[in-house]
Amino acid sequence: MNRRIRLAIPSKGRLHGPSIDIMSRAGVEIYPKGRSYLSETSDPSLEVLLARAKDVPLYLHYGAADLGITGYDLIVERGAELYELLSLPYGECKLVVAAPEDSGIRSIEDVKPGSVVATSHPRTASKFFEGLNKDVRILELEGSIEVAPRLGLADLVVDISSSGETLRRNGLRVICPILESTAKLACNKVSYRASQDRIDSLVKRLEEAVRVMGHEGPPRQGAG
Amino acid sequence: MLGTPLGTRDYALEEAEAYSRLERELERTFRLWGYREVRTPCLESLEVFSKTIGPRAVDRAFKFQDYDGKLLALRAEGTAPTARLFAASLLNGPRPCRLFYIAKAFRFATDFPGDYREFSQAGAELIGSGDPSSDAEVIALSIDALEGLGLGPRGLRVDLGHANLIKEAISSSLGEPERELALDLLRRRDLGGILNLFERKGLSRGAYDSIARLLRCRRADEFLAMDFPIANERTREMLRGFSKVIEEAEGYGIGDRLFLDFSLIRDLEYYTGAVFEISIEGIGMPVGGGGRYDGLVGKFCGTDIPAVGFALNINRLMEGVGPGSVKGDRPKRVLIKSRDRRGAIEIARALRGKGFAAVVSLERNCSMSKGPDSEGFDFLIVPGPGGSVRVMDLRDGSVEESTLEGLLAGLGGGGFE
Repeated sequence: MNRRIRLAIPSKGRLHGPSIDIMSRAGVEIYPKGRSYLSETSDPSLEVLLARAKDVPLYLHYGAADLGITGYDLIVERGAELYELLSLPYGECKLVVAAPEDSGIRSIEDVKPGSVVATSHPRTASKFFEGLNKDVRILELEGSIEVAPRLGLADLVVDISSSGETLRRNGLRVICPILESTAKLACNKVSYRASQDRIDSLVKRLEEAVRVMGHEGPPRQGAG
Repeated sequence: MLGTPLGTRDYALEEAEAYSRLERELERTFRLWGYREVRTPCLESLEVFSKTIGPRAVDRAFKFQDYDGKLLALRAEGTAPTARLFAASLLNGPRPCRLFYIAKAFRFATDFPGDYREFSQAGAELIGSGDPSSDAEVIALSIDALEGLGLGPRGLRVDLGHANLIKEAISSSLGEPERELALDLLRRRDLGGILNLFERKGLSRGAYDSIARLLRCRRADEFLAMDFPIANERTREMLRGFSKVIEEAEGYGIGDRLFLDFSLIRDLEYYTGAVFEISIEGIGMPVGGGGRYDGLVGKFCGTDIPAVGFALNINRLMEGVGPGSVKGDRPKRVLIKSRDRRGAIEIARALRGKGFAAVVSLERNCSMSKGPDSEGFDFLIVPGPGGSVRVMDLRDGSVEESTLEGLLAGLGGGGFE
């Protein structure tokens, strides 16, 4: 069984650069090939699929890719049951509930039933409020979640925040964290079982790269 | 155009035929291993599931009220109803009792297109034996059933774990709230997360190491040669029993298909011993799974009766196998065109008696030529005067003159291809 292992890597966004970088540190150079969606790598037994970070859990769930780098928040949001083999030292962020500073909402208890919550993480947000027995309406948006309250679209937001700066600039106050996220190396369960030796050896090299990066100080990060 | 609800789908013509063939092949293997059929209703009391499969799985059952207010559920899986049936009807029969079923099951699923809310399961249950050889028997049966579908050369493998071994090792080190978290990390095979948790709780590196070693162990021989420091009588007992299952499985010659994965946690909570999942390369999700459930039958009759079994997900197998690749028994299809309908009906009856699928054309046009009505047929027959017939092989267009008797002999007897 010497099928190539297919690794999905975010094609753009804040997880793209650090993912290429850490693969290189683990000894895998990626050679993008024109407009082809698959790239060769310096390891003949490994090919790379460039995909949107949000879609990576889906590819892994179906086994369309064996391994993938994506955000933990995106794995949770997609409800994909995957093996999460390694936490990577970038893409750190929090998924938080935030409300306009002038709304009088200071804690989750202040959220009124029927409030509208703007988010790009509708599943995670629904589950969170259901768990608290709070009846809210979820408004799914793809981006610029933080402006939804100012536009009168929503009463509060569930959004990703790295430093909290973007939320603050938009007059929002964090009232409650939902989960902490980081980039993860995730794996389809059947693929892992079928190719464990090869996958474990890559994980080991990545672990070593993570260790070395830990000694170098914080990795470069995109703005969030 | 009205489609089917989310998580369900239609199967038409070749696909439906392939589906039935697949079910028949599985049924055949189960019968050859001495398993006998049971049929349980699609509707069960919710209690059948609520006291057996665990809250995670019950959440996903389709539940509703009967006319008199009792809570019902659509069959969420096949093992609990089979255990209920055994307790109700077969308790005084011979043991061990070998049962199989092929039935629909219903569960809420994610909105991934490949996750079915209605799916077919082919399951086998061996009730009344706690011997490790019975675990080995059902594992070997699951492999034989899939090899019977021609899936042997496609990286068919069984990954074996234990329902309680790691849980026990983790609970002996952690308290209740952390235990759930640890099991969730385990389900996701997040070893780094487990290590962090152990460190946060001030546990020794040794406790983590023994769990990590178990999780990394993949080959049966590696496992049998290992000396585990998980020190309590219950885990040692579990390890002993588990080793025996592996040894017994070797006797079936399935050692090269058998691997270990101790992070394997089944969603159904009734499992008490060895658990396994069956995968095929190229199908991204396991095609089946099962394990030992010694406490389940007792939920219905008050006395624990050991049992072990598995179920295969037929919809997933269909995706991997595709129509046409399961060994077929499709009869050859013959179209008869004649103005003499009575004569045509006679010919059709004679052909059906020989195992052909025979259709009398409803058209008045009796020309010996291909047309829209002959699509999907293998032969076209136009009877002539005096018992003669003309036969066109629609696959190559060749025409032969014959008699009905000559035709029946010439088309190759039984008619199955």
